[in-house]
Amino acid sequence: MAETSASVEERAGMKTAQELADLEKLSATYEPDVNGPLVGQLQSSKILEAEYAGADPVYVRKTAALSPKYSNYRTIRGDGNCGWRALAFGYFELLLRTGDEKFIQNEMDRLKSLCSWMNEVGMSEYLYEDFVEETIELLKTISQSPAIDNPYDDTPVVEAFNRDDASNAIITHLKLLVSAHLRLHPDAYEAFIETSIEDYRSSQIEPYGVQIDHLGVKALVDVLFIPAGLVVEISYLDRSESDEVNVHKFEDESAPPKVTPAEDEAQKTLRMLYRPGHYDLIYKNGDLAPARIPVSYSATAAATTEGGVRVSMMLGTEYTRNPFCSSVFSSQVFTGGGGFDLCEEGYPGLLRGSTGSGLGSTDAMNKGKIDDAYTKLFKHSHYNTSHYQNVNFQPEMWSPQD
Amino acid sequence: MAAKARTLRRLLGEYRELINNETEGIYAGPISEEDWMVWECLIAGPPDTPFEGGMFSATLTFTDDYPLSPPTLKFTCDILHPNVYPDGTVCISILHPPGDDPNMYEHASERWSPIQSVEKVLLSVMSMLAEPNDESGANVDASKMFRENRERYEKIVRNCARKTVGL
Repeated sequence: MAETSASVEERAGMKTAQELADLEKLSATYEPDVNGPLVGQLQSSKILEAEYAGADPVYVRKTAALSPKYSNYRTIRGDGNCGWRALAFGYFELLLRTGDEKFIQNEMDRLKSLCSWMNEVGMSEYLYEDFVEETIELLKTISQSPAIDNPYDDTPVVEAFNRDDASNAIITHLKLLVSAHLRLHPDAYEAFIETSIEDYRSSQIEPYGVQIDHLGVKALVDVLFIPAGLVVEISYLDRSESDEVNVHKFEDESAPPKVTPAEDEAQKTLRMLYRPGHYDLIYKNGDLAPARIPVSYSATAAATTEGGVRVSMMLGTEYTRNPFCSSVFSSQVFTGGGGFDLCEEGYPGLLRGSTGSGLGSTDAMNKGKIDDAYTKLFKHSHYNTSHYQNVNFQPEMWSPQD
Repeated sequence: MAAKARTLRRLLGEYRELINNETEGIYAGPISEEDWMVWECLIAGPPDTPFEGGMFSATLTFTDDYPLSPPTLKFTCDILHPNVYPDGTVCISILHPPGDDPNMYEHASERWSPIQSVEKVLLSVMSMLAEPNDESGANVDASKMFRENRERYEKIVRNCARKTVGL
């Protein structure tokens, strides 16, 4: 008997060690998805909360404080280019969101004229023209696409950025632009690096696949965002002692304090979420279609058949383990007819059969209550992370009587 | 396929540039019109080195990722050099993707980036012939010989150079 209790204890001990290890892993080594889409679809930031539910309390606290303020979240593939890609994507997304054809045209002219910088530092046109062309093409596409009249429809930008060649060409163009800018304005940056500008740009900026650092972000913001009147801010999700993510705003330091109304600035601010080594995008409440009337579930469900394909990208494999399906639904309030066929993707047949009863009412969604959004069938399945058979089972979330 | 079309367009542009603005001592072009991803190159041995007088042939192989990723360069003639593997593959930093730099201390401007080119690669190889980096481990025997028995190294190299022009 003594042996049995010892082994029980041992098992319990092992489990605790295992749990601790899991906890440690979640907290310390966040691994961005290297196989996900280059740029993911908009999803609810509740996903972040769920991701860290069992992690270090600092993360639990910060992610819990994040989602009420920042409604949405967009993943960027962790392929070493995420910072560049997040900024490049965000730039186009903000431009599209202005819905201002003339403004986009001006940006196009400006970027074309900036090629003179690259010539000035001795880059040959025949070596960079292909990259520039892709940027200009996408600017043309968004200024001419029907989405210009529906600026919250990010489809053209998301699609372009998920095409390897276009996506990579655009970030290469921006890298070369930043490299030229650094070489032409060394005084503004030299003090922040240990090596020379020459060494920095050739080892940290120009090569494809080298992660952007703080100075790189600063230089890109100086080149691309500030002259266009756009703002970039980074929210740092790390283990530092605070209750919320720390936000750093990159603004035009030389400009006089702004008198622009807050809503206007929200429409012109790109927000990045930084976890050590990785950038994603987040969206504050009101960044996206502030006055949009929530789309009822049935309306969205109707759009599902057309949009179903996009969702497989949106959810990825990560989501199939996530209990907060309601959060995805509420994100649809913002994306409208984006489509989100959960049934196709993560929960075969589970939700489809019960959508009428469980998710029919807009009220339930607006309340944002998790319980309303998932059905009994789902709740009692192993897809639910609070179910004991789920691979990510969290005992404290399990209440079998529910 | 789109990525490949871009790669081909870039290679075509580089080829045109190499023909129009010939750089002395460097010749390169696709082996056949059918396959633009493999080029044949000739690199003249730099003057005042034991490589002088030789015309060293090599193949450049590009991937669909070019120019995001560097090409590979492999000598197809006999050559003895500390930075060339015994099978002819050249090991210098400009030919390595970022993060995989064999000689971190090498000159900064020689790293690969999409703004580099075939011309830059071949010029780097030329200066590599003139100034071997004997701390590289590509060909340990050659490195050792270069350090400890320079006379013998130079003799073998001169022989290689003569052989490349059929002497």
